Amino acid sequence: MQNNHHKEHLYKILVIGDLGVGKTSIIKRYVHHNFSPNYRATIGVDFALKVLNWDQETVRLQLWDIAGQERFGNMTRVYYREAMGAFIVFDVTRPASFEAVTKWKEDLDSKLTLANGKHVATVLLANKCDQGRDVLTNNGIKMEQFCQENGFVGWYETSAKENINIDEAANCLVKHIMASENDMLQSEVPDTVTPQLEKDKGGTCSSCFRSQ
Amino acid sequence: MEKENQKLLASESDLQNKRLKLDYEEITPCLKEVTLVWEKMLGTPGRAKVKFDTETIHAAVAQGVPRQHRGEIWKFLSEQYLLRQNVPSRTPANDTPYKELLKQLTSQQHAILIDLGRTFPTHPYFQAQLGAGQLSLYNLLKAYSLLDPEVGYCQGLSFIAGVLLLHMGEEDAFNLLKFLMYDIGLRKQYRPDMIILQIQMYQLSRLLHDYHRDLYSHLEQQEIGPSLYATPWFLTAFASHFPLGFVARVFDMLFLQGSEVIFKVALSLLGSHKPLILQHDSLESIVDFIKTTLPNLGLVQMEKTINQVCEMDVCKQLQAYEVEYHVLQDELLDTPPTLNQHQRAAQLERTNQSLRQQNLDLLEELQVSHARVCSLESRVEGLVQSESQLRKQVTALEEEKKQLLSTVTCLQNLLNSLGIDTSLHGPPLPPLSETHRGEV
Repeated sequence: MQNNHHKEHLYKILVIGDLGVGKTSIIKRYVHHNFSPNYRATIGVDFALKVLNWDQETVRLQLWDIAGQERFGNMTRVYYREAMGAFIVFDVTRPASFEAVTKWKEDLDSKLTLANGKHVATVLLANKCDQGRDVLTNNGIKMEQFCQENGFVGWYETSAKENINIDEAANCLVKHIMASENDMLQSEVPDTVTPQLEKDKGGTCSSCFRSQ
Repeated sequence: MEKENQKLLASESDLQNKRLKLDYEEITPCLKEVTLVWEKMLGTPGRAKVKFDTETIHAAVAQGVPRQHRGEIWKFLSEQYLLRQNVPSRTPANDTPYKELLKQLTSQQHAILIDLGRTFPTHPYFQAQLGAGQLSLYNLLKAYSLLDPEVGYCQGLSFIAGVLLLHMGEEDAFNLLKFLMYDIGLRKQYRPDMIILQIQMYQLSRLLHDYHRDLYSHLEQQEIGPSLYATPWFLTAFASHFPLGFVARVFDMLFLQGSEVIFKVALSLLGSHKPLILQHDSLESIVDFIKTTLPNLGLVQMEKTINQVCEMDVCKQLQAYEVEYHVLQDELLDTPPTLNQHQRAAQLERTNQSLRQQNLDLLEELQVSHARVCSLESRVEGLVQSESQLRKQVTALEEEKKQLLSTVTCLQNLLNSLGIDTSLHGPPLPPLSETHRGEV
């Protein structure tokens, strides 16, 4: 903790959502800065590494690209272990992929909890926003409400094709991961462990829209 | 005239399509003599019922498969595979013909449509959105999903179907897909619980431990299990990441030897790249190497791999490791876990599910074995019968011989008594004439 200068963080981040919503494209855009309409279907899992400079610290993001077809869930569950954050992606042009978002979130929360018993920070991505907007994402207030109700720390309209909001979404996620990491480190100091941890939930979080 | 022209145009576009589909680099270029051997086998009248010599077929596959006949050769190999099985294998309950299936609607439509553009996305035949290639692929996958509702559509299948479509028409491709799934047994790995896939991953990691211990430890150190890199190898038979010429050879072997081939190819590939993999020492760079660098093999390397696969036999190990996997799972269940009741219940539910599936699989195997025992027993019976018949024949022949010999003696006696010198017509049987003279 003392030596903050060359501190390195390694965060494992899951990218999940229905098949064909653009998970691979988002990761390729974010990591390799390009887009191709010719990506193969992801069969099983893939991952890529993104290195960020963050307030003079190095943040290494290990992005795990998880196959979208439901039956792969049994096989990919082992890769959820030790993840610190997640993106759940849907395709704004396909309402069914949005309806699946809550299912993905529940699945994520059932497979993964942090050391302090909380769920991992999750950002919702409304992808392919270059292809027209869906009625739902037009209504920002409704979306924020949806996020609060379902435990997302934020949401973004993204386009891997046009490179819209992907860096922003990632920064938001990293911020929340760091906050929850600090949270956990503090709660590890024996003196400050309080049995009322659950009641503290109302506390505001440092970033994004979620202020109460 | 108009019609003729259209026909001509159609056949021209057919040819063009064929050229487009087979535009890949052949790994083991087929010599003229070998091509002739293939053509002779393919042209045999009543081919589907003639059992060819296994050695000859193996040798021919090892020497190469001519690209222009590949589709027909796969069909031939599948016929031979079925002829070698004494027992009919489990066929789909549904035997609706392809054309009829095409008229129905599938619940998997959405998933299939999404994957159409993501199957060989850079191949000219499949590239055009809803072009000929994608339409055929859609038809084939849809028909299969209706034929086999348990599997339906699973990601990975589109690549297998795609490889078939590059070598034959839709309906043939449908029949061979059915063959690969049911007779070769690929379908198990695509079932919704994907337990068989996990068993295969366990088997591969144990094989790696047997054959390449150092590589196994290196990967283990970084917690890299086969499911991280080999899932597409199994689910697409190497078609999603490897050059088509190589994939075609893997399929040659698959039709010849069955599903074990995937393990052998995987093992051979990992083994031959061992020194390079050992040079990488982080999770990211190792997986990246295996996923993106390794598939771009050189021609020589590919040919070497296929040759190795021809020689390998891992059948016994695969069986042993499958049993081992189940035993380990059972042990895992017996140790009291630190889970809450809900999780425990869910786990038990899953285990129950998998055990039920296992039971079904075993039942299926049992049935096959029973049928095999029956057929072997009836063969033994037949052999015993033919043995006793042969014995009878031998006795009868011996009897006949004795009679003939005595006839010869009689005739000789007759000749002697008539005063004809038998030695004129060739030397008489010395011992016989000796004894006869004595007697006379």
